[in-house]
Amino acid sequence: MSTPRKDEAGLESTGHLSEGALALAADGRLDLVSSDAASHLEACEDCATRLADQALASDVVQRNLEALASAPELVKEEGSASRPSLGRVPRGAIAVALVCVALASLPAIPALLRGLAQAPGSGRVLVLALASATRAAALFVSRQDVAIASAAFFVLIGTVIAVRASRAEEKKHAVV
Amino acid sequence: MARPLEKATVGRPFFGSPDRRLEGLRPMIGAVVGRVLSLPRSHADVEDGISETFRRLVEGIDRVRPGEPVGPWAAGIARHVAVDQLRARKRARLFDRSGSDRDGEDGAAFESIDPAPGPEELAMGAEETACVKRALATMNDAHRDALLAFHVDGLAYQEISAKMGVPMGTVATWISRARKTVMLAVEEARTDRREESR
Repeated sequence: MSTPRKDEAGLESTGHLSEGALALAADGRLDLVSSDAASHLEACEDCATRLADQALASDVVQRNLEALASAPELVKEEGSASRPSLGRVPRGAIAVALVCVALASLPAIPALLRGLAQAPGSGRVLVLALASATRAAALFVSRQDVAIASAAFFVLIGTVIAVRASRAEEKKHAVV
Repeated sequence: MARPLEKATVGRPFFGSPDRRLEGLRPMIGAVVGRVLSLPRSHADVEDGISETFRRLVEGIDRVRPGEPVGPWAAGIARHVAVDQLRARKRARLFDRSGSDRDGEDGAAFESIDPAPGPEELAMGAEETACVKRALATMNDAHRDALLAFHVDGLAYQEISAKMGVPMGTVATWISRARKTVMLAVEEARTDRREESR
């Protein structure tokens, strides 16, 4: 780490206070400004004006940063604040929903297999298989509503959780 | 070298016990009051403003949260004091012009103005805050880190210097530039707002 040098916050070649010296003076840290700069500040109205502008800017920045930290909902970035990003896809909820869909369609599978096994000849296998598949599909369709509803339910819950989590995260890092 | 507060306020009465955190603020307060009043710092009104600001600072210093920088807070109070002085001057001029002493009626009218921000001001504040957020996102990383370390984390200049591994003068310059970037964005928002309201 380099040691801070006092003469860095002092006068510029123009004879007026440097930007850094003005920032220090604006924040009440005259003790960190060189004595030449402090004396100059007492006499120079131009530097006093720059100092006032710096101090007023400091006040505005402080108030806005406090507002950002305490009420991030004040700031809605264009379309990004409430929209979960790709990194926040509710993968868990989608996985559970897919398992529900698979479970709901299980009863259709034996019927399909049975239909295939009862096929009398190889010539008609394709037709019988198609017929069995159709029957199985019909059976599946009867349970499809339940499967879709449960999948949609879990996807919805997952989305709500993801949105809430992303909002909480944004609140936490509102300032940055 | 740090100047004691009593020394800084020589020539004007100073009430209350001085706080270490208020040391070194006088030049800034004088500059802010003078700037708002458009008067040289030697003017009596500016001196009055400085005294009033210090009175309020001493009164409110215990309410400053730990880690909250005192400088911006003091600058805000100095600005408020100067704005109050401007209003008082305006009021006095109005009474002078009317040539009468209708203290009851006109005085009441001035006092009845609600100082709380209205919906428009609140909306403007939200816009301003949004601008600040955008400005933070676009500025130089080092400038932003220094600015947030000072204003949000409440670190002192020396602490930021040690944390970032750069000289303190550089930290001060970065903070100053970050503030300028933010102020440019805020000014743009204010200009847009003014143009919209026309």
